[in-house]
Amino acid sequence: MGATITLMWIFFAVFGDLVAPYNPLGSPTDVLNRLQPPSAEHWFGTDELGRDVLSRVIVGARQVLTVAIAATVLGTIAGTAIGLLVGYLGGFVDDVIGRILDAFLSIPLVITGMIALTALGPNTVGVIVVIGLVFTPIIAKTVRAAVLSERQLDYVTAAQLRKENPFYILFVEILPNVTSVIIVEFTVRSGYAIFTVLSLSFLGFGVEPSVPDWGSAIQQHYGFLTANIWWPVLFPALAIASLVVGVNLVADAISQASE
Amino acid sequence: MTGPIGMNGPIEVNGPIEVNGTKVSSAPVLEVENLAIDYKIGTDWKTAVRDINFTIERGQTFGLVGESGCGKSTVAMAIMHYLPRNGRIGKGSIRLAGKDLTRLSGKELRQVRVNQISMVYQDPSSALNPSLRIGQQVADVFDLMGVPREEQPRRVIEIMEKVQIADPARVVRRYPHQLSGGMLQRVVIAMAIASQPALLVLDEPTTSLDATVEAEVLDLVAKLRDEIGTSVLFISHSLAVIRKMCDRTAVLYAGRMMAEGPTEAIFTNPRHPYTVGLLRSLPTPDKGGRDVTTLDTIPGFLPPLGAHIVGCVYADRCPIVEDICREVEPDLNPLPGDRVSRCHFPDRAPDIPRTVAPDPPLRHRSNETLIQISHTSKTFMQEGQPVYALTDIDLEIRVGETVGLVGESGSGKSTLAKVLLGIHAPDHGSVVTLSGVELATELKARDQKSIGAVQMVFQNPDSALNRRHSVRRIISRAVTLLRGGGRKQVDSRTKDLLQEVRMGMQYFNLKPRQLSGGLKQRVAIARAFAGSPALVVCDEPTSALDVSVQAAIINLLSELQADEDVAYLFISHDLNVVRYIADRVAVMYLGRLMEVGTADRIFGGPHHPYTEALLSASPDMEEGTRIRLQGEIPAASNPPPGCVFQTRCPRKIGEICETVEPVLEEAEPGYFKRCHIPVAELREMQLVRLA
Repeated sequence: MGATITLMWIFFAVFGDLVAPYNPLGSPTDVLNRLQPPSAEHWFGTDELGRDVLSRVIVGARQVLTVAIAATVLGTIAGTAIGLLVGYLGGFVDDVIGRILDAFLSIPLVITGMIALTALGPNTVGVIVVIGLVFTPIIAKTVRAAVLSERQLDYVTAAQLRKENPFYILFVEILPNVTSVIIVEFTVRSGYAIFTVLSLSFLGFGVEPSVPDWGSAIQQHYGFLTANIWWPVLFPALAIASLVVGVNLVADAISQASE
Repeated sequence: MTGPIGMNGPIEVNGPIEVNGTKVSSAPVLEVENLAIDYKIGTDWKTAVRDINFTIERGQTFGLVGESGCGKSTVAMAIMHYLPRNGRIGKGSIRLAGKDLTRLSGKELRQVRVNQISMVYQDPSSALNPSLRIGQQVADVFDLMGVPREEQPRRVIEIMEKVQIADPARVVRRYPHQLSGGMLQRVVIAMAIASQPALLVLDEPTTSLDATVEAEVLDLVAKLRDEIGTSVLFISHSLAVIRKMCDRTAVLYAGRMMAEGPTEAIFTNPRHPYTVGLLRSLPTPDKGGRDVTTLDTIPGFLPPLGAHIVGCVYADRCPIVEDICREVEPDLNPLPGDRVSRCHFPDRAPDIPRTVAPDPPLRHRSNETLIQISHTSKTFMQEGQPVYALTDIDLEIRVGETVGLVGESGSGKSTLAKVLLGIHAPDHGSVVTLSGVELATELKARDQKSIGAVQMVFQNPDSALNRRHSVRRIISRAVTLLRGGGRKQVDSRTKDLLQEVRMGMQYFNLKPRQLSGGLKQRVAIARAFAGSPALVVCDEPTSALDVSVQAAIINLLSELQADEDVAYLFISHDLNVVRYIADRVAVMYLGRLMEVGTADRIFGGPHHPYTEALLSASPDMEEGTRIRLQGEIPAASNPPPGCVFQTRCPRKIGEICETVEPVLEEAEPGYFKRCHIPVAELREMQLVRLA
């Protein structure tokens, strides 16, 4: 179920342009069709510029998925590297880096993002880097814990007893035994990343104006709700809900399977 | 909270048991009839255990013995009605004092558990709540029984005294992590007997304890059983413990009862090929050492859970198998002497041929020194306090010999091994030489050659082998680093090693989880031999394995030693294994060597008092000739003054023991002991035992 929903959105993100019934960026004549309710021609209605809401929802998956996945990949790679190193070295390094990670963890996600993006300027790469960095300490902590319990095992001692180099021990001996933890962490974080990306785009960070995006679509149209024009808000909102639920279901399934 | 049962008070165990208001006096306490237990595997229910039939009379101790996977714990769980969610009782009945437990409602079952049946598990630390005081947890049991609150403190102290806990008033205020394993197991036993249950189920109650503590706990169980007259179902993998404790015994294999009868008869005159195989694979003093005979093994593997087997489940491993065994499953055939055997040919059991050639491999011994450990100490700092893990160790290991290292946990055996291996750097002034050349204390500073020369086989192969790597990768990586050479040379050496540990090429690309415990340990041994070592430290290499597998691994280690002239430092708590395999033995206590000598001398006596105590803790010791250690091993951060053993020594001679620490002196040629008592006096003291 989760996989079906998630795969559907990934499909739309890749092939959205081919599937969408209309040009999501609109055409010059659209302005005549502003804010039409759902109909046989426009299943999800049209928005304030007369663009097809269905087409924009379909193509909008691309923006959020690219940004969210890129940010999670970045966070996972950085977090895994730090977690492996800290967990393996232990002692003083663990104490110092551990406290720094704790300090980062105590800062709220969206606020950090907003401040950083205000400083960096609101572009897509900025969003990816900021979310990636915010996830790094969380993932590092989880990986560290997994590495600590692996380190207790005798195969690590056996590796030391043949004077194995530390990189081999870390990446060839220990890393394969913590990959399931990392995969679970990656999927769970992807769900959070999607939410964070959309929260930021709702607040106007990280999206170029004409690019179809669920967060900014809601932001642009929620004022019309009072006029009973619900379709340009409801359908992107449903898209968000279904994608987040789908990814979380996948994350649950993976973590159960890995136990 | 006062339960309805509680108002009746504890049941009269010596008098008749009340069942549904009628008094039954002669009925057996437990009757298990045609019991079958199923497990759900995927979507199918598979029968894991079936045709279990036995009866426990009042005051009797009944043993269930078998190797891992035979179903003994499953039977116990079924009796307690604690089967996991994916398990169910498929068939049969379990009657406790005539009442069928399989038909009780949840409420009735709870009452039975409160008042009539108790269980003690293997690991006492997981049976107790770590966040509650001991007194509170024991009082809860009385609470469930309906003892009024104001009476509970008195009853708690009483029951703690009964299980011989010294100073119970102090112990009740403690949390579980503040007590030793042996003390915790006493507390758990106190809770189990609080209601004076009709049946006490003990599932491997001493497996996680030291031999000296095991002996105390077993004594206690025997004493309590006689005092309160309870019946006991005793489950263990240890044949010696079962033999010591039980009146009757059932031997389980692959979920079937293979044999049942009076314990002595089962052990002295086995009438089932499996029982014969088990007994033959155990090293015992009367069989002789490794230069006299090999150990017999049980070839093959336990069939997988729920496998569909036509005929006898043991047929594939049985040395006297016939065609009929593969076609018809034998019944539990009655034999003279009130016993049964699930075998078509019980009369042929005594004459089963050996499965392993009895002649041990010949080896060349030499008196050349391989390793010399001198003045070696190791002090750890723990929260600013020094902990003296090793104190002034002097030990020689010769080329091609096996030195057994014994002692209770916490005696420093593993620390000594880790110092040898370079995992722990010893204190300043310690010297370890390999073939006359001083070894660097730290692993980092050792060259590849001396690292390859001193290797290790770990206790638990599951932990020692990387579960993501294939057998090939595990061995070849060690070959690459410790021996070197091109890809082709590494590959051919890896294959040679696999053959040397008697494993076929079919295992070459498998992962550890696809191998049995014995095969995994073989892979670990092959890895240790990658760099042609001169010394292999074997840290309890067989204690995680079943006896039949243990025998095969010990035989393999003997063969490798004969072929490669390797020396072993063999750490084990199993004195019979050490006696079998070791040429010389070193006994450790609180970081010191107490006694060093040839195996014959150490086991033959006269013994150091500590060795004497270790030996008499062994469950196959005769009654009446044992000495018992009181109390616990002192903390290594604060060793007692004088002789470190004086606080527990049963042979203490007086003040000198408390003030002057004895030195490790060569009392006879090649025999060293650390004790004030001269050998001649020790002989006199121990005459009773030696005679």
